Amino acid sequence: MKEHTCQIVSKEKLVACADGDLSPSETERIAEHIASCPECQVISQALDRSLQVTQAIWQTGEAGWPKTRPLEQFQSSKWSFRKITAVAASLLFVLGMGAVWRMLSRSTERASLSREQALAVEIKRKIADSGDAARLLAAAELLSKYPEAERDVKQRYQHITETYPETTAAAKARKKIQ
Amino acid sequence: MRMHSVFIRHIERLRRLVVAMGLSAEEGQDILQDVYVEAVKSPPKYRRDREAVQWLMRVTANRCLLEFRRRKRHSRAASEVVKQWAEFEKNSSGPDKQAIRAEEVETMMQCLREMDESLQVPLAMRYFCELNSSEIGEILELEPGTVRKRLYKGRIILADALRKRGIKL
Repeated sequence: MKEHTCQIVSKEKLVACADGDLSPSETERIAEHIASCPECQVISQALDRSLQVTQAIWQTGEAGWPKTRPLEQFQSSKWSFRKITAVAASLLFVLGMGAVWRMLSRSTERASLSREQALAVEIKRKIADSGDAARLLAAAELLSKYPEAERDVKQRYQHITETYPETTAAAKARKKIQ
Repeated sequence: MRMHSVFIRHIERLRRLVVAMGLSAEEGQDILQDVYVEAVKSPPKYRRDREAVQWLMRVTANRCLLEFRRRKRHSRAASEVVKQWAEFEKNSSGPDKQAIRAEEVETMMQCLREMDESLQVPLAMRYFCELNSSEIGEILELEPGTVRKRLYKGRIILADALRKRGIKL
């Protein structure tokens, strides 16, 4: 394989330039050089293209995963004071239940994880999923009283069916969507 | 600091790391479940969210590496990737999207299969999980300078693989 012989710009600089890690003036200087140096041009193109293809491989791999909705999106809509109060009340209830659940489950979490215990954790996860889905459904139902939140509520139902498809709450959410 | 909630908040990022290591959705879900179990079974005591995320990323990367050594990575066919990518582009409104070719995909997949894991993990973290050199260094317990060297080496290996195959760019 032919070595990099350009004495003006090193491979390190070409990588840094491709990644946008250089100052604007240095980027401009290197871009000008690349335009007039066939060797650096080939490396620069190969750097861009190889990364583009690699990211495509990663991205298509990601497409095979079930879709989940980031929690932050739940907090993005503007809520009225009444809605906030209603949801805060339900959250207080949820937190209370969570504290009780934590107390009950702490002892099992500390134990070492044999196969049986792994199964127990899996069951616990399913229970937690079911609880989470039910809580989300309850919050969505609370919001459904407000006509202006119709779109948001629909998204919430959609999220429940996609994220917790096997739960009873998901079945209820599906009916609501229909 | 509850590891459960940190895990849930950052699951997308952990998932990206697993994907970039060439594991399938099923394998990846098993790994994330293992990480979750470890996080709730013996959670380290961190006061800041950032430290907890770094710990989760480190555990996930290590789990991936274990799996990485056991199984053949990036086992999907290049044609499958090209087909999925065409679909992806169709649904994307970005004007700078460029069709990818099976030959290039095959070359890159082979290169990733053969690439040393000490290079592949930082590459995935930088170019897919969008972390910077300092953040990667904190997760992998490396100096930022070492991370930058590995990123550079990885990028050159990928670019040279395309040039070596004589692919017209």
